Amino acid sequence: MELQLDLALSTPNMIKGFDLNNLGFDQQKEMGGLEDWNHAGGCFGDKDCLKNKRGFEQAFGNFTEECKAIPLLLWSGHPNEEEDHKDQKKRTSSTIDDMNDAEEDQVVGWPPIKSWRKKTIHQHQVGRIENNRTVEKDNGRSIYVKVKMEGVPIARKIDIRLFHSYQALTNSLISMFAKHQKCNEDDYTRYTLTYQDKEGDWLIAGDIPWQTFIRSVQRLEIVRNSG
Amino acid sequence: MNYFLDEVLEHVFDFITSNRDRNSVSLVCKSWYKIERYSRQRVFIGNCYSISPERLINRFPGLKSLTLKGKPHFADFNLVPDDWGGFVCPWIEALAKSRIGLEELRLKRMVVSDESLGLLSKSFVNFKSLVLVSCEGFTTDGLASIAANCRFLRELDLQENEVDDHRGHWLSCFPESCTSLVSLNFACLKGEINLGALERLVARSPNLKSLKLNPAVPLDILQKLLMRAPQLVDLGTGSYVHDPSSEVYNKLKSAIQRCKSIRSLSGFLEVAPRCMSAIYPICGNLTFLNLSYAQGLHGNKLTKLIQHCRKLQRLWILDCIGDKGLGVVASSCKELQELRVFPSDLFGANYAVTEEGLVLISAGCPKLNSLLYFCRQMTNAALITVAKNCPNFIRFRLCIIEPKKPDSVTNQPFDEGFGAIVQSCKGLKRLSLSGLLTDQVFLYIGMYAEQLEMLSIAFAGDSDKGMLYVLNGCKKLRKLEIRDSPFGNAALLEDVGKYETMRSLWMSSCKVTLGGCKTLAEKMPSLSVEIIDESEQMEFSLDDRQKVDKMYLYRTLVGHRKDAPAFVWIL
Repeated sequence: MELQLDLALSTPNMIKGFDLNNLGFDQQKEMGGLEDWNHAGGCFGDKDCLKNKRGFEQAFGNFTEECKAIPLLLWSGHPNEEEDHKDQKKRTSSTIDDMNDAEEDQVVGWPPIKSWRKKTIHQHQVGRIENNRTVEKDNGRSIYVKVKMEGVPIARKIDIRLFHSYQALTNSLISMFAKHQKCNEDDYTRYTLTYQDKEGDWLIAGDIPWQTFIRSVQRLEIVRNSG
Repeated sequence: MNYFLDEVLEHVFDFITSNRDRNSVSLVCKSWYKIERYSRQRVFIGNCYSISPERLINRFPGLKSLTLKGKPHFADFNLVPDDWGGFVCPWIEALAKSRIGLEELRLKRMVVSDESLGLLSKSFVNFKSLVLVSCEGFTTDGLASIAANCRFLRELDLQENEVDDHRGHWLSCFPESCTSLVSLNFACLKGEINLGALERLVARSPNLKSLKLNPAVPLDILQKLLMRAPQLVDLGTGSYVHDPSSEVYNKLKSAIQRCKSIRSLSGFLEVAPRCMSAIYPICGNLTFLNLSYAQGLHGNKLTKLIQHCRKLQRLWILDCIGDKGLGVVASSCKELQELRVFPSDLFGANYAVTEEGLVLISAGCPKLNSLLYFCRQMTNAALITVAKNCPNFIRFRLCIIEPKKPDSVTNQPFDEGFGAIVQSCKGLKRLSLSGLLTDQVFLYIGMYAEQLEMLSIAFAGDSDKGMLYVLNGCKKLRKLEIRDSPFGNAALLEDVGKYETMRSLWMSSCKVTLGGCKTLAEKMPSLSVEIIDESEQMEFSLDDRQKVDKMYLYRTLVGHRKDAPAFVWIL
């Protein structure tokens, strides 16, 4: 059985990474700050927690002291009429989108690392990764979801099972899409994470418990809010 | 005939705690069997399908503590499909109906439902301890039942389970009257935690010795918890991230300094390297340090920490420590017995640790007896040196990440290297092989590995001879798991009686055929021979010459299990 080595392409533009573990953030000159990445916070079940959408900095609690201006994303804004929102394509794990990175084809169950550990490491590797897909056949556990960002021509696909909270998902999406953006705009715009559920409706992500969300999400889209 | 009263024998048997010794005792004569079975309190069942709950209950009416294991080991690496089995439900149901006063349940690789947890929590008045390792199928609702109903709960230990997290209320379900907790580990939970409830719980648990938090618990709460529980022996941090110049961090430093009993430290799923200095005061007492999830920690911050840990016996780290870092370990941790080095960058070509690091460790840590080492290159010379320096290995697991990779200097297979290990380490019980290997290594294993109980083989060997050397030579072999190796029917069928002396055999992507498996099943009715095949072809293709994708066989006293899913065919 041959091992096909994965070709991990590193894009020259790739940011050092939004690495929550490393508080010495690289302040990238090319990047401005993207305020108010809208999404709901992730502390369900806690009566004290607001279920309202919180600003980006609020959502990241402890980090605000250290990272006053979190180097986020600046969009050059390529209005691109790619796919319609009304596209009813169902998610399948075999659908391949346009991807920058090469297809990975690794041996199942090798190297012998507990899948729990693999998932945990993967989840916390925010910003380091060349791609966010799990490459292993997960025996039906993986749930691949197409992610589009408004203004970005290329869609991505992620395995939503790798994440366990809205926060983790958002972190990953930020770094994933940041690579593909030219950053020369000065104005800050708001973005909202939306998803299409089983009934085909587009909703704002964050209102329902995470576990319910992953069972019903079909695709994701990050949309710009003007005004 | 007994020369002693039964009560005297029973008292003597009280001193015999090892399960194997107890098993031996029960074989001496009928009278000893009877006395032993009534006095036995702890039972370990390594394969839940080898015996039934009813027979367990019949034989050991005094059972207090039960350990059960379900799925085969390779299930950890996604080689076993979901729904294969390993359900704890029938066990809990049977025990609940009986008069067994269960106090402790330890499960590994089993499927546990909320209903089972609910039933468990309500059926045993004196239930004290629940330990779940690599299990799945339950949610935090199940944990809520345990918390709410087990009035004398001492231990709730969740290790690397897949738990559906339904909000954080379960912690609040511990009643105010519950003050008996000694050990609480919820590090594997991914959701939010009711922090107030956690603080109050810790505050009213004066016997709490072990506390392992999940990343939802921020550093400021950790500080408060440590203030309330300075008697802790075993700590797993939650999110270990904060501004080192803050007031909270200063408070944490003082809190940690008061925890003079901490011997074991883990967690750090989220870690800020600059905050590690708070831990220095307790490093000198640590015997176990687990930094294997601390992705952000490397270089000086890591080695400086380790240099303080002079009494360390067990260390789990990531390979970004590098060979140099391992050199620091070798010179600082002279008491080291167990080392595990996990890969930190699965997709990169980051040659973080090599054979050099391993050699340094072997030279500096003569007490080393347990190793798990992931690396991208290795040499026979290094392994031979390691074998010479450390003859005390009980567990030796080497994973060279690229399958079939040869010695990086000589391009030879690793037969000689592993051969040296088995020849030198006369007490070796567990061995995992990797890299390029021919039948020769199995000849060595068969010849020298007399105490070997568990062997893991992947992408190794040339012919049936390899497997035969092992089966014929290793008299104490209990578990053999093989993947992607060219062993076929001749090896499988040569000595069918051997499998009755073993717990189980796993073979996947090898050369055994359906016909071979059928023959084995026919000859050995005391074995359960399972063919696991998820492709839909299985029913239609009855061609005996077809190679079997996955075979799992195990000895059993209760025949074929009734709960097998459609993709499992028991011959």
